[in-house]
Amino acid sequence: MDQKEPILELRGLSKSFGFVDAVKSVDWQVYPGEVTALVGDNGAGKSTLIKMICGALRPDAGEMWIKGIKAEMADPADAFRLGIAPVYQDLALVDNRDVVMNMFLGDELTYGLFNLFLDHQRMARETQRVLDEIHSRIPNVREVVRKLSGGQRQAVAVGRALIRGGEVIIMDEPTAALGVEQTAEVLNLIETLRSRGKTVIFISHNIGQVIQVSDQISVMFHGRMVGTRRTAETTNEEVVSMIVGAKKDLEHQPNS
Amino acid sequence: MNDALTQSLIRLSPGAQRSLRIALDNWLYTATILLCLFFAVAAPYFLTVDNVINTLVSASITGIVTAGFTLVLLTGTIDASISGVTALASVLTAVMFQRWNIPLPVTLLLLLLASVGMGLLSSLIVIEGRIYSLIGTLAASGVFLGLSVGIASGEQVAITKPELQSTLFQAPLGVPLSIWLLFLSYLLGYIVLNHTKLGAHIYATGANYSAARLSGVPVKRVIRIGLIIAAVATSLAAVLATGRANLSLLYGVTIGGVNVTDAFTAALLGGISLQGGVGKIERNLVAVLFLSILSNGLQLMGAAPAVWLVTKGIAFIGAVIIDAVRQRL
Amino acid sequence: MNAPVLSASSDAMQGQRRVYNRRESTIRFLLDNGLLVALVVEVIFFSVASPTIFFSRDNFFTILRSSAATGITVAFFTMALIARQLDLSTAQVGSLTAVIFAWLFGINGQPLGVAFVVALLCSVLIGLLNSWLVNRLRLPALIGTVAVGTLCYGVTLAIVQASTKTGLINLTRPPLRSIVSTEILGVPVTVILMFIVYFVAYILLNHTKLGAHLYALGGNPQAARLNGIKSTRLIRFVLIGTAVSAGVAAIMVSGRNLSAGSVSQVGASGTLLGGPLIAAVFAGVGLNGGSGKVERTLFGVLFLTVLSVGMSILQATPFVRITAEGVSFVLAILLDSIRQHLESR
Repeated sequence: MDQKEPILELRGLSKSFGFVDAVKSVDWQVYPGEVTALVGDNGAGKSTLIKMICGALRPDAGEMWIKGIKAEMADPADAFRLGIAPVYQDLALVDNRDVVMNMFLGDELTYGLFNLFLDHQRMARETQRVLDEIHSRIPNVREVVRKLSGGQRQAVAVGRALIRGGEVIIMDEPTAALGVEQTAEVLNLIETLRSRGKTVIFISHNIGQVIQVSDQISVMFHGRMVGTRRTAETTNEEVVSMIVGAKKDLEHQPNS
Repeated sequence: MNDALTQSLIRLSPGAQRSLRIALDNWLYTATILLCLFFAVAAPYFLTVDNVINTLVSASITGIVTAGFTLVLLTGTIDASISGVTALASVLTAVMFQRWNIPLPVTLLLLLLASVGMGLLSSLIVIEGRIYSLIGTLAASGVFLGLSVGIASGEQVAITKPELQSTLFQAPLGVPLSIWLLFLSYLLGYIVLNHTKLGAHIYATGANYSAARLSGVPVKRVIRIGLIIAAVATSLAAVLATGRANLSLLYGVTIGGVNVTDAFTAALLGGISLQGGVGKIERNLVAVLFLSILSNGLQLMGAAPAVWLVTKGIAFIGAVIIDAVRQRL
Repeated sequence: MNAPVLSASSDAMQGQRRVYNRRESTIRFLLDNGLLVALVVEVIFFSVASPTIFFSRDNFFTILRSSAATGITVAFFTMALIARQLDLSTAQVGSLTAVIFAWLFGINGQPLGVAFVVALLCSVLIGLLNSWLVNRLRLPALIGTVAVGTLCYGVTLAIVQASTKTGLINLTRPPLRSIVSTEILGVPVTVILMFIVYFVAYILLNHTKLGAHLYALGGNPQAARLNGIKSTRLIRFVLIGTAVSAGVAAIMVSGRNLSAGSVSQVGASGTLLGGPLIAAVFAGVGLNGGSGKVERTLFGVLFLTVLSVGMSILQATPFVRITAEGVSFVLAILLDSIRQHLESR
């Protein structure tokens, strides 16, 4: 399995808030074209880790390597440029703007003198193309996002990640607030992304879903990365025991 | 919150954080005492009995308005109808008492009813119209101003009958009535907020509207009662102002500092959050006194009115900054 | 998210929804353009009531000219509101700027250009102070700007009282009045400036990145930040914008009145919730940010000016005038509330 170069590699990444060490010296590899699941209990440090990868938080120590190059990220825009595209749990959509403007939020297409003016037509075309690509059915891309269903909103957020050339799509608890049917839709979406050669990092509480869609499962416990398993070679029970901290991989312990 | 200020505060030692918090929590009391000491030395007549009474009397009108304003602010509602309520209450007092020759007690009773009506109208617009409180009460204020101009046919009504002043200028136990009313309104506010169910509901509504609603707090009724109390308090202050001037207020003219800005200043100095749910009414009394002492002392020292306004502005900004630091601790 | 319910909708339900949508869009069209309709009705009413005085070229220019100062401020005020920044210091910042200008130009004898630039620099500084309070201390703009407004009011009074006994600083020095009342092709220059401001604001909000980011910031600050939009710069931009526009507007008014002072300007609009807020709310700009159209606020400003000019031509009593304003304000916010209710469904 390790013949592939990791697309994203963390080395000794740490972050503390005041006296709380949220993430403690995490080493992690994510491989291209795969779905990597990140699991762990509440407060295990998943969100903090993800925020650092997305450039929303700055690590206190450690390095991030993306496609073999050391990455320096000051804010979310830098992460986008490097191909890291998060889909936040609350989707980070602006409810009273339309689908197109949400797709290009913060990174609008422009034309004309000094690239001063918004290219509404091209943005609408691109939006339609990406939505078709992920088999999403949103009848009118000029509809305000408030009026969309939960699954449609998810598609807009994922579409946004794709539209800015996201290669590593990070989905934070995408199924947490959804019903059965919509959850299936999201899991299909993840399959579609993998079939398009995208890398997906999928954060979830639901071990069943994780085993169903992922290629690799990584577990965090108390701010540490306690283990990574190939999905095909592990069991539900093993993952759960790692989540509750009963089982640890020694080779993933920091050697500080 | 994760900004530079928070970061630098986190770096302080726990002991330093604690003492900073105590200092900031009580800065208003400290500042008021220091201010008194300063004026006691710098302004010769500051510590005379007459002047102390004067200061309290001049604090009374803004103070009473602020008491009501605070109560409604704690529900997370901004009452911008103060100028309208003041104008209408003042005009109603003058017109009923002087022009229509209604006896004073009846006038005051009718005024009480009218101010309850004003609070009801504000709450109707804000709650049933589902309009942001600042805008809704502003609209209500516009209606009240229109009515006040209509009732007085755009004139100032002079009061020549003596009973109003003779009633208001009483001084039971040697203390003027307006000072009694000032302390009484804060005492009532304190009891309501800290020792009644309504008070608990007011804090709950302001702190988290939807959580309060879901746990069975009658949020709409709480806001309605808050707005009514604010209107009644403002009307009371308007009666005091009218009595002092023996004139009804005219549209666009404020007498005796009955305006939103002053109530805002005092409420924020006292540490009431605009989002609601946070703050203590007794601190607001101190804030009102602080402003009044500041104004009085500067006057005694012969400073121009502009100096007072600038000082007030700086005090306001200072309070806002202190509050911002305090919230991060 | 009540997603499962929505996704379960059958074809019949969708059909029903489509019919409903059509009716809804008719209502929404009326609500969206109600202000324009009201403006037209209003102009027709006053034209019929006063065919000679109201319905004349001079009077239309009077209306436009008296809209200009408010209009310019409201344009920027609207932009700030769209970004969820409620700036309540415009009246006070405006009069402070005008008084500084008047002191430099009318008393100190500085050249017009110098006085103008220095005064506007002062308003830039006030805008910076406002945005510092919002960005650095994370205060709601509402609180920060009220605090700054109080301070500005005090400084204004201090300058006026120190420099004149009448409370008004004289501004009769030659070039000012003639500049303010210049006409280009028969159109007052202030009116042209107002239209330029609205045109630029319209392009900015609808066809530039900056505008898209302002809407995003107002609509969902968290989402905007997570998508790499830098809120600090935007907030600084809108708050400096309101301060400078208020300054320019106040200088225009003083130039026309030939004087500046704390009484004339602050007295009239010195209440906490002065002019721009009413005009913007009138035009349906929500206080929650992320919505509102700047071209509509122009109609809002014109509607209010036509109302006040028309009333004074008809010699309406103050009662009628204030009540008409109050009632139309209440109607405007009620209609807006209905519109928001429809949209949020």
